[in-house]
Amino acid sequence: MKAGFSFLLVLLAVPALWQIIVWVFEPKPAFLPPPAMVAGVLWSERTSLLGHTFTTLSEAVIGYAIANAIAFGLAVFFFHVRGAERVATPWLVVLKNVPFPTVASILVVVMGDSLGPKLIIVVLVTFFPILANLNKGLKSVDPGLVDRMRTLHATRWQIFSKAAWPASLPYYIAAHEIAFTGSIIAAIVAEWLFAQRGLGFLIVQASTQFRTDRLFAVTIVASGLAMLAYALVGLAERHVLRWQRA
Amino acid sequence: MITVSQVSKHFSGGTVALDTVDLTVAQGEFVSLLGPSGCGKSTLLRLLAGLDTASSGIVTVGGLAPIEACRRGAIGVAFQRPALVPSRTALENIQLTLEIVHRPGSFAPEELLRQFGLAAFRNHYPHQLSGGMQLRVNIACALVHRPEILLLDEPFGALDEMTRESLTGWLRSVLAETGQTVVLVTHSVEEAVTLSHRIVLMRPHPGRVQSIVTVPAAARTGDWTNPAVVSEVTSLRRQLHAALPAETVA
Repeated sequence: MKAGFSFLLVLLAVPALWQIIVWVFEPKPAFLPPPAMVAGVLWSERTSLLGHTFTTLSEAVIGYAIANAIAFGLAVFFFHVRGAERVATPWLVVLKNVPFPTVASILVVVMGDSLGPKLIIVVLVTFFPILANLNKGLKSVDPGLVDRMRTLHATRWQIFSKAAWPASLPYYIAAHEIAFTGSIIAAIVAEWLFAQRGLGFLIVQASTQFRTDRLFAVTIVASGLAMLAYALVGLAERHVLRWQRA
Repeated sequence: MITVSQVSKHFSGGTVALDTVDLTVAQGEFVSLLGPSGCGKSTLLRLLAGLDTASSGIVTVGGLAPIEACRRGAIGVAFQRPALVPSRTALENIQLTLEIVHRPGSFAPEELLRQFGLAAFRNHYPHQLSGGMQLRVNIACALVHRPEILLLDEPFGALDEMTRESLTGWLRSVLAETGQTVVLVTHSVEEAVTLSHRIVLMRPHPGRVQSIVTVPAAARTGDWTNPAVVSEVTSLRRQLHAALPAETVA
């Protein structure tokens, strides 16, 4: 309740401070549009904003799902195949450290302005935190518990599903706090680099047209999406890790 | 029955954890492995549990290789630190054993919890239980499938003296009912004396059996108000302390 109240207070304080700055300093709307003006854009362009938001959200969610599938598959593979992680790590580090704007440019040249490059960018940005946390979580399993299960002649799958996976869940959920919100930012950046739709495209369009009010409107929508993603992860955490609060 | 014949265990780097160890544990017998750190008692227990293999020599548990005994669910193990799944309740942790081992004649987990005085805590998660309660759940996890052999690696080692004494008495009464073969690794002379039929004294560098002491039946009752028991235990403690270097006995 207290946390909710603090959040609401911050949520109201930002536009209030913004309005005060506008009243006191009276900047040109091209530099700092008043909140009412941005609210007007949000309302009058709601259909267009919703459409572009849907595009961005689709790219983020699909890319995020793919990243999860790959990260989960790799983490399980590393857990079951001794030495696999050691072999794969240098390649993963290389892949992680290639600057993604250059990857994006190559992808656009090769694949054209399609969904593929945007999804790949989202996957590249979100995949590593998920894999790293999941991997760490699986390794955090109590070795005594694994020994206990081995003396019961548990299969590797039983050790994974009944001991390692539950141990990794707090780490996996923590990864989502970074990766899920990151997927939305990644989708916007991908669109910002190359797209004809989406919030990233709107940002480019608004900048070239000096539409600061629309830029602010898109920023508010994008922030709202990221906060929604964060809240969803929080809900999942409260449900999955409810035993921690018992 | 457990047989350890001429067993040695060498680790990489040249450490000899066990050197030509011989030991036989009869069915229904309670044997304690007592000795200072580094004498190889936990290594020996891991060999019996099938968690490690001997560098040389033969280990059999109920006439089978330890790993085969594990396959048949004949072994239950409880370590010093409770090996519980944090996201499972006490009851679910005990059920975990039965999800892996399917043996006819297993105890009902709820009934076992009742016998262990934990019925009211069946739906508590490990972090909600005291250290002593966690250890009781840990032992219940090792016992629930009714294994012929129970291996205990300092199960009360992390507890305070009072709780430890009370749990030792509790374990004695539990095992009197189940009648299992038990091998206990311990640092505590009192624990070994009040629980065991025989005590295997081990010495380190390399780990070897130094001597085997038979505990008089009177000592195992653990009735500290009986002067005869106290006298027996004191005499046995003297023997044990004399056999082990003073600074190494807990």
